Amino acid sequence: MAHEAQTEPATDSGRLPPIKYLVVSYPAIALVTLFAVPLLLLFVFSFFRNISGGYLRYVVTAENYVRFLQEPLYLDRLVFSLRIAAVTTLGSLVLGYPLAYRLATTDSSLLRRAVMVLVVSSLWLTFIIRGYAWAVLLRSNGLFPILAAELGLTDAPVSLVPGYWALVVSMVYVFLPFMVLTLYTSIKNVDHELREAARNLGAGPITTFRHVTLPLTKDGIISGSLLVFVLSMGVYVLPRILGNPPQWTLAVVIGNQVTVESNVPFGATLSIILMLVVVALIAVTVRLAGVDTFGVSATEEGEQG
Amino acid sequence: MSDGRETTRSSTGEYARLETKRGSGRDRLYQLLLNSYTSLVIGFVLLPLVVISLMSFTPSEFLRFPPEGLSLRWYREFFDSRAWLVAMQNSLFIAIAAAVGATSIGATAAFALDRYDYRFEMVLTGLSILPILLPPVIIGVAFVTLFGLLGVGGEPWTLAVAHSIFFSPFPFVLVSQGLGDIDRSYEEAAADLGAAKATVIRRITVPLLRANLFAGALFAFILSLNEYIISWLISGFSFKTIPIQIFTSLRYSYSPVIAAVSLLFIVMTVVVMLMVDRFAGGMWK
Repeated sequence: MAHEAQTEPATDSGRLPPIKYLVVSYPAIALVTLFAVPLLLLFVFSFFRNISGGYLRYVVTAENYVRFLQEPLYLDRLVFSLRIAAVTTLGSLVLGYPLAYRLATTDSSLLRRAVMVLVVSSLWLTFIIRGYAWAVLLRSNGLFPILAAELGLTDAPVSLVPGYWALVVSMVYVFLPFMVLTLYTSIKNVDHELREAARNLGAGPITTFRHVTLPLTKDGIISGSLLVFVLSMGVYVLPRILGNPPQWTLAVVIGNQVTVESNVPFGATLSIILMLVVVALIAVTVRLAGVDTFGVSATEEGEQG
Repeated sequence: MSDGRETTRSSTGEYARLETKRGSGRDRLYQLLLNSYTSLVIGFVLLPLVVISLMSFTPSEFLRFPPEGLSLRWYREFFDSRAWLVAMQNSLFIAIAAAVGATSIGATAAFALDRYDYRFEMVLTGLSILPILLPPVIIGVAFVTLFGLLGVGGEPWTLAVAHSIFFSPFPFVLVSQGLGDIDRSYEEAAADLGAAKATVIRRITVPLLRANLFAGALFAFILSLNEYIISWLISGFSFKTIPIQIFTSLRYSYSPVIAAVSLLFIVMTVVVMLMVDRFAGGMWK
């Protein structure tokens, strides 16, 4: 080994295969057996038949997929998941872009670090705690309904949980940090001298934003929105805490199939469908965003790839 | 507000920026609008955390404004409750094991892909990133099928295994970045001086990557601690973590004990994030 190491700089491709395969074997075996194989099993299980009581019959049947297409409930839940994900993405963009812009352009490093620690810390805090906090704020004796009643908007405090808007607020709340962090990096990467140049040439702040900052952060907006959309598609906890069955996402239905109904095959079928939708979304967005090259020229194209 | 004063102290380039900022009243109006709007957004982020904190110290069952005083009653209830403590013990065990597992998998994959060429590099890269892109409920169901076939579900270590895989993309990405930034001449110098390959890795590469490894492990730790849906699917009602225990209690009431646990969790999360910031060399400077 020692003498191999001495010749190392020249022989990267020469006599090292054993070490090279030894190094990769651990993560490769772990990821294949514990990630690729379970996903494959998921696919296989989606064709099995469930017998009540949680037992399986190992026959290959497409009836789970037929059931998904025939019973309107499941397609309905998929459409709802897409809709709520779109609303969440829009909401976090509207709240997140200005915040990211301010953090990326402020001269106060104290403000930047304080808000970043706040944003990042809240990012990792379990959805359950944050959902619980919003339930506390929005129930009939919570802050917002009491405030609304005091202001005369409602006669008496009206509980907003469970309900559609409670779900929207909590989802925007939970996914805002992802949007802010993505946009922050993107805006930070815009050379501030470009903004100054625009200003020096007489452009007002709005014009500068529309013609310099916004086009240069287009990639950030796309990837932040994609990230939030994809994560929103998988949300399980918040609809359970802040929603009624009409606000349940496909993920909730999947969880219920596995635990309450003990129907793993149908849960697997719904999982495969959700996975296909998510992967298709990512692929289409990357494809479209990659193809679309007008607007941004050679200046800041480093991230595309 | 203090922005103006700070700018005058800093470099001439920024001084020039300040001059243009003062250029017109309209600019200042836009800045004011931006600042007020973003302050509201910051308030939106803060509010639930503040309310939970207040609630955890309230002496009564419900939070009232103004609060009737401070009390540690709900913290005492937490530390007196066997169910909560067992859940905390499970959570910590799983999170520590997941941090070790995820970091070892992610970091080794990153190292292998950075230093060697393989025929199936794309596959390994995909497998290293994909876990975090898929909805967790899917990962949960996939593990339920695997553990069901093996007949091993329902024990904390199975969840630690699942979390190790699910969170390995974080150390993978962080260590990949670190390997990209490393100045290879240190390693070459050590090798030229006769150090064996393993020694170079142990004495040079790993210390240079310490921040990335540590940050990756802390991310995995805190994520595992906070993860609910995979935990719940895999636990199969036979053990509880803190998020599971909170969710179960929420079905009965919004007891302030939940607020107390939440604040403990918030404090832990912030401390860990500050540590990550520290070790990763001030990510947000």
